[in-house]
Amino acid sequence: MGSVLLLTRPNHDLPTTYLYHWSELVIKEASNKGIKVLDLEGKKANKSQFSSYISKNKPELLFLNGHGAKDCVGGYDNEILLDSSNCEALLKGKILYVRSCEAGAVLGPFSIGKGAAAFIGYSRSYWLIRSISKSTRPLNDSVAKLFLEPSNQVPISLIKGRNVKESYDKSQKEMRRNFSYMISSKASIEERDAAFFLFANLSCQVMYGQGTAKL
Amino acid sequence: MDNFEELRDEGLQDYIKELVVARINALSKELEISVGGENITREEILKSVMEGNELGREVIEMQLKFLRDISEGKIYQSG
Repeated sequence: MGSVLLLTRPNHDLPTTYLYHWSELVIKEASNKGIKVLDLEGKKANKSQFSSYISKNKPELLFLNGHGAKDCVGGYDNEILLDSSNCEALLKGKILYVRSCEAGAVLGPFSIGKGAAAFIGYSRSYWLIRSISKSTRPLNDSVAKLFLEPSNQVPISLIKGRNVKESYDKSQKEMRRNFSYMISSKASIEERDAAFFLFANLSCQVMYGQGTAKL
Repeated sequence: MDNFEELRDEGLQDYIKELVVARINALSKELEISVGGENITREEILKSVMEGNELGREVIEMQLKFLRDISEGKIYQSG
């Protein structure tokens, strides 16, 4: 296919460590599809490497994990990787998926204005509910799975050839499906308690730019 | 995010706050919460709600949207 995916997955605390491990599933999918993966993992998720990798390799898809704010996204130790100062230089023609709080509020539309093809992210807080007993084994955490599997569907759907709108819709559909399960009598007490927070993520997931864009 | 004019109604706001406080207090102790890549305790969420800071307002607005979407059946719609 010839496409390139760049992802950032810092792991400087427990929440980012969860995103780190769950992002491995996206890497696996990309590798299966023959997509080159630029994996800025751990401390490599810093501004210098982020800018350098994008400039040299020109990835079509950027998948960013980490702490965020309305106008920026962070990497390892919350060093800001992307904000209004470097959007134009780095994002032209690219598809972005930002798994962090609030970046969809300002950075999202701003990046489209600066030439990004499309942006999917969250316009308010991105909540993640985790089981204490599974904290050393994030991929075995059945509560976190209900949040992160649908969230992973954005990059996975893009990797599988769906366009941005289809990938957004797929993620939304899976969040709704998980939410319906979580408020049912089949769910555990913990899963039911977490349902409200998944609803919050579902409600604030946003998409901007060209819905027809694809890898 | 929806502009919740209803939240200008103080009585409704107090009711929603009570709901949120009850919901947060009832959360299973097995669960940990993180928002934006950072851990947050139940007490911090409750403090935000009672103070009415940005996070607190967001949680209240989300609770109102949750109730509204359930009553209108929107929560079960696809796409």
